[in-house]
Amino acid sequence: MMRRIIPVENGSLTISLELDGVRVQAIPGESLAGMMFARGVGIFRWTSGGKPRAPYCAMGTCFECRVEVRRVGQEPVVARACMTPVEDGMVVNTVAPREKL
Amino acid sequence: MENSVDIAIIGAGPGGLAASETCARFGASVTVIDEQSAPGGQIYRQAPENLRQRAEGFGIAYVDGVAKANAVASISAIEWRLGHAVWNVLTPQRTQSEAFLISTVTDDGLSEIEAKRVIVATGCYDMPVPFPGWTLPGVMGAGAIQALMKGQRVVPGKKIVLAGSHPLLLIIAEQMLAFGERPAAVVFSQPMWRAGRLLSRPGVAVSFAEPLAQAARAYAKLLRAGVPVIFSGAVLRADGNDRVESVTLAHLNPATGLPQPDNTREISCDAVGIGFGFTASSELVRLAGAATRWSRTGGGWIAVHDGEMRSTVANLYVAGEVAGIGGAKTAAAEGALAALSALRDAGYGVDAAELRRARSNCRRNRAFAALLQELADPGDELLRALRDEGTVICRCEEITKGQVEELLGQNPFLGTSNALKLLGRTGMGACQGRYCSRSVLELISSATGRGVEDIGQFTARPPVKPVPIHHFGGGVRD
Ligand SMILES: Cc1cc2nc3c(=O)[nH]c(=O)nc-3n(C[C@H](O)[C@H](O)[C@H](O)COP(=O)(O)OP(=O)(O)OC[C@H]3O[C@@H](n4cnc5c(N)ncnc54)[C@H](O)[C@@H]3O)c2cc1C
Ligand code: FES
Repeated sequence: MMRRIIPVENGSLTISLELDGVRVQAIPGESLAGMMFARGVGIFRWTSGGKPRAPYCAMGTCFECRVEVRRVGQEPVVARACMTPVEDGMVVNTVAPREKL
Repeated sequence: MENSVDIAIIGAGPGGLAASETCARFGASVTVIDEQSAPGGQIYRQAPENLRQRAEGFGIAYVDGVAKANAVASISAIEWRLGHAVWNVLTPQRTQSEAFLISTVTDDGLSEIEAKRVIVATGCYDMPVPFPGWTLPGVMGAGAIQALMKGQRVVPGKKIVLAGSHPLLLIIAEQMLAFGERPAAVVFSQPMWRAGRLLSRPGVAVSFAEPLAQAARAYAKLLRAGVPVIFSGAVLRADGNDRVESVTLAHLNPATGLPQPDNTREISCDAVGIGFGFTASSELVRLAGAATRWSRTGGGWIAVHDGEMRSTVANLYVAGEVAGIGGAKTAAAEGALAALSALRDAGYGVDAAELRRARSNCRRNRAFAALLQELADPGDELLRALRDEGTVICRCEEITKGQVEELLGQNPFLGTSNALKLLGRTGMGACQGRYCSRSVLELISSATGRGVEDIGQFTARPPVKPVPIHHFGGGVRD
């Protein structure tokens, strides 16, 4: 299971955002991928061929961690979870399997 | 031109940081651009403030490196553009001016930087090695696992198998142990005697005493912690339902170095880190029209330079992994030399003795890099043996080795990477061919017998980093 390797105090979880319809608290400066891994999210997107994918490079080159991100007052964009810091009010959706779209 | 800086540096890893420090010392106006929100590059990747605890778990070199990176970042004469991904570089020839035009994208929008000279120090990424199951969630680059620990203080699993041929695997495993995470196994494809034979060459053990001692310490720690460290082994496949649940490990024939299909065993795991080496991030160099050359063990397509870090495009310099995989010290040495060359070309009075010292520092480090490359080389035959017909080659477009071979069989005159991309879509996807280019090259080469330089690479096209379409005023799509 993916998880944190250091203890995190609740007091540092000051960012509030939405992940797949659930309200979650996050640490300022952490990436969406870090937040998702800390919460045990294993699948970030599904390919058009119906296969699950998750971060491969964790440094912005492979694009396997793409999720849909909507910032407050903005249009949704597809962004790399490993390169996108959490923000207050963000709405994040993992990209669902095709059959569920 | 009025607004253009003397020197723009792309990449704030050891290479870019050494370059920026040198430029600032000479009083040049310099802007440093990096996609990450903090300086340090891959090796000194930093966590956000509330996640910085226990940094010493990554070793004293990491703590020092981070401190050094932050010290450079506090030099007020340097302008920092952190969180800026460069998606295009236009040469003065293209802009019909005297300056390069660098286009960046942030979470908030686009911006541009004009610079008379540019140093590209964009580093590298884990070398992609396709094998059955490598697209399953939980299978990642070994460096990626380290990046998650350093940058986010998370691990992708509880039972992690590290496998490949690069000595960095030992260091990553040691760092995991420091955080109480015990790798399920560390697997090297080389026989154990390979390192010994290399080190017994005259002079080698003495000149490389420090990294050797570091690797030996890590190895001893792993053994003490009961971590199986396996030599002459390779992960043949990863299996699982929506996530890796096990890997099949093959024992490699000591004579051929190839997997023995009848000598395998399964290891249960929930994540895998593959580390056979690194691939240079040379997209921007190529985009600017500078020459690259193929280096099988040194990072794939790496930037050509004149020995003083000048690329083949005037006023464009390179440093670090992008000029050939060499590690952090090489990158820093080359960053300093690239800066001295740029400064000298710009008319700053660079002392000949300093230039000489910088050059010899680079040479010394490159000698170590060459040794490391030789030590880490898994050999193409092994990598080829790891993929079968059904193995996905192009992760983005989900194209298998079998499909590529079929296309090549049907089109005997298909002889370049670009032609295959047009016909078969490999390299068309979001990663822009970063993860299939090496396999595509090898598949074309075995089908046609053509040489690597003739097959070439996918042409780099902007944007090399994603730019949301709404920044251009349009709609949104992936
Ligand atoms: C994941 C990973 C982990 C590694 N860990 C180690 C380690 O523990 N020990 C070790 O000795 N070596 C490690 N290496 C090798 C390492 O790359 C070098 O030792 C060292 O970091 C190289 O320095 P550099 O300056 O050449 O490149 P880097 O340190 O990679 O710096 C390049 C910088 O350029 C930035 N960049 C790249 N493209 C763009 C762009 N288009 N726009 C804006 N910014 C861009 C990147 O964000 C990065 O910060 C690792 C490599 C990787 C890929
Ligand atoms: S994990 Fe590769 S781009 Fe995010």
